[in-house]
Amino acid sequence: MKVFGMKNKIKKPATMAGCVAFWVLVWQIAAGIANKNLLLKIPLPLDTAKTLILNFNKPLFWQAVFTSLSHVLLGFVSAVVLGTLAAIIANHSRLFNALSAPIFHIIRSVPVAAFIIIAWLWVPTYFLPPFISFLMVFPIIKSQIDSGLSAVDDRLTEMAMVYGMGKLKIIKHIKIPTVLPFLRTAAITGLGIGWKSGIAAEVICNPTGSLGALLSGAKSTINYEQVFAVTLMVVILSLILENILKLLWKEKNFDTN
Amino acid sequence: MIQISNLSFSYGKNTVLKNLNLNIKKGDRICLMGKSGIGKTTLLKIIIGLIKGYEGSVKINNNAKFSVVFQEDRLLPFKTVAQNLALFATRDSALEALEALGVLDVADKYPAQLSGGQARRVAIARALATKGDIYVLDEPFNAIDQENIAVAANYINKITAEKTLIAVSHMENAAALLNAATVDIENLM
Repeated sequence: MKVFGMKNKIKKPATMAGCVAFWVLVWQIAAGIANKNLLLKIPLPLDTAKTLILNFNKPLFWQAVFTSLSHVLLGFVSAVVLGTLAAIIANHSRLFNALSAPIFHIIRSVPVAAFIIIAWLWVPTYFLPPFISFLMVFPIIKSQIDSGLSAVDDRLTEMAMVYGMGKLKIIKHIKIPTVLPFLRTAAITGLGIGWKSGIAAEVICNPTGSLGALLSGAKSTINYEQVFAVTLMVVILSLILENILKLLWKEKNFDTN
Repeated sequence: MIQISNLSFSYGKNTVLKNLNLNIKKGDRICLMGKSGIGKTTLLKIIIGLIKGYEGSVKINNNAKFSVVFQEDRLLPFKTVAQNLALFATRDSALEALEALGVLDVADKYPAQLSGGQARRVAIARALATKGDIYVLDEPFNAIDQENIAVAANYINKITAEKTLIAVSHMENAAALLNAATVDIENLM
């Protein structure tokens, strides 16, 4: 079994690298064909990489990275905290659950671009990306915590009560461990969605010194390499954030011998 | 210690207990028998306070502490066997109970890693390690093999000697194994 495990550990990054290489090749071929046509331009992978590396030497680029990160993380953390609170309240109050249901339905069904435009009417530009990230992540967290709380086994809480365990200890030893895997799934999904929607808000409302503003600026000056380089950075940062979260918050398996 | 008078209980339209009377004195040991669905487990749940909304009266001595083996094992799936017991019992009594019931070697395993019989013995160990005043055992020998049933029964009898014990079992020799008097629940109604 151990040998199989080792093989898998080596195999996974190698497979991943192979897949990335395949799509870079597709990109290279597509750019080669497209660039023969004067109306359509796709920057070559190597040119995109060079532009990205040039960006690495500019302090303004790093400022944009940190600004965008702070936008998204602010929205994400607020959504985790308030989404958890909303789920706890909903679990105890049918009225709150019924009243909030239409709001969550609207948030889930209205396209993110429409939300950005609507929110822009009232929310200051700097706060719009965190607000949009929050709005997109909040229902995911709330709904997953709802599911987690519903999954709490009443038979375990009954047992604990019979043995004299207090309410706080029941929360600590039974409810939180039941809900945590649901929160983990929600956080990983939510982080990706929060990142995408936050950057989308930046592209539309252009807060100074953000990745979205850089992307928007590059588009308006028809700087294809920069558009692709900034987009590539957005993808890289998204992967880094997701993997940091997965690394810090590993899934526990309780049934493996 | 426990005085039950004219107890009636229904699940919707399905009456399971009707005018049941039962007195259990301190140190009594009884094993409730009766056909399936007659209300044995319901009666145990009423005694330990998990079911309310019954008719009649159930009086239990103040401060009486229950140690219960439920019909299901009810072990916390995200804690090891040792951690499950440590939540409710002292380390020494937990280790002693696990060793006596032959499941000390699984102390670091999670419930999902145990066989049915091992999980049942852990559930018994938890009840015995908590040192209650009244021991309530609902089908304690479920899923345990014959050899280990004798070991479990001996340890239950050792720990619960001079304590009050109320058991429910479909096994015909359960009362004898637990040194308990057989009580047919139909005769109480």
